[in-house]
Amino acid sequence: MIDWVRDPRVRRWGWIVIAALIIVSMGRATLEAGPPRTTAEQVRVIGATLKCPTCRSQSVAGSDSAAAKAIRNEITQRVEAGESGDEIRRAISATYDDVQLIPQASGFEGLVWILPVFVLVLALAGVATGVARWRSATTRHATEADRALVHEALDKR
Amino acid sequence: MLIVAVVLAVVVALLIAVLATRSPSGERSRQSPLLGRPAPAIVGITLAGEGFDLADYRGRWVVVNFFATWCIPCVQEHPELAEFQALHAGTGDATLVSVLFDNTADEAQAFFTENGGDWPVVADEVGAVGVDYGVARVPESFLVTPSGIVVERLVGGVTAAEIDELIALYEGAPE
Repeated sequence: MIDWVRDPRVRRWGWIVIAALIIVSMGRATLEAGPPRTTAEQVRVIGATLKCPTCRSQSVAGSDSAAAKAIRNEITQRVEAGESGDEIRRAISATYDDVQLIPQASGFEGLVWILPVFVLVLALAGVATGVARWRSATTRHATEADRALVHEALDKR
Repeated sequence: MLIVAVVLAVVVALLIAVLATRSPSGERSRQSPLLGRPAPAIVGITLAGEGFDLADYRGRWVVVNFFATWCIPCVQEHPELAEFQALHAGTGDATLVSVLFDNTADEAQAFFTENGGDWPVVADEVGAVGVDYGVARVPESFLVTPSGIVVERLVGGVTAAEIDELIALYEGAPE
């Protein structure tokens, strides 16, 4: 009878199935989310990445303040003029100080994006090293000296 | 293990440094990305029904004042703005333009009829001019040099003396 838990082929296929499920789920989620379709949707998405200049912990999309409404009007006009989300964010940041809710990808703020990836890579390397050590420990074979010791002990009995 | 611990400590320290150097969300300052840059255009129709273009005011200091009639500090600063305008009306070296912020032209007209003031007031129904100047809350004023450069963002109510001091300061400074 096959030991399903310990059989290396079963375990390998198990990991492959799990990896495939993760990839398919992520791909499906990305495709279903898709780009915003309507102007209102685009305004909401862009507004959600900009800080309301007069509020605490609210985005332009979620605030009813006069400044947020004015910025939403500006975003709407720029979306209708065909500007991209990045272009609109840059334009608003050119007049409002520190309005971006998403840190910049470049400069010192870029570390916020790079460091977590660096930590993840480091953690994965640590796990891989640990697993490799554990596997080499479990697959260690007896040396001639070990065999001699066993024979010696058996002969004495 | 020691190397991993050191690397993690450095990473955490860098993250803390990044977050600590960002301004708190509630902090408001007189900083503006516009300072030192050309003043955004203001083109529109005044309450008096006349055309207005900020570019026509080159050669004069201009105070661009954003206000609303529902804003108490705006109402309080109004006499100071009137004084500033009266002081400079004769010399013509400086002038004032008010831009409505989340306010209707009718409300502003009623306010000026009651409180006086004969400087141009430009309606900004969708708030486009306010966004161009990065106005967060009123009153806010911007001091524009005769060459059209924004040199000051004044958050809150202003006084005529304060504006005059700033103009004197910049006129004394080398270009």
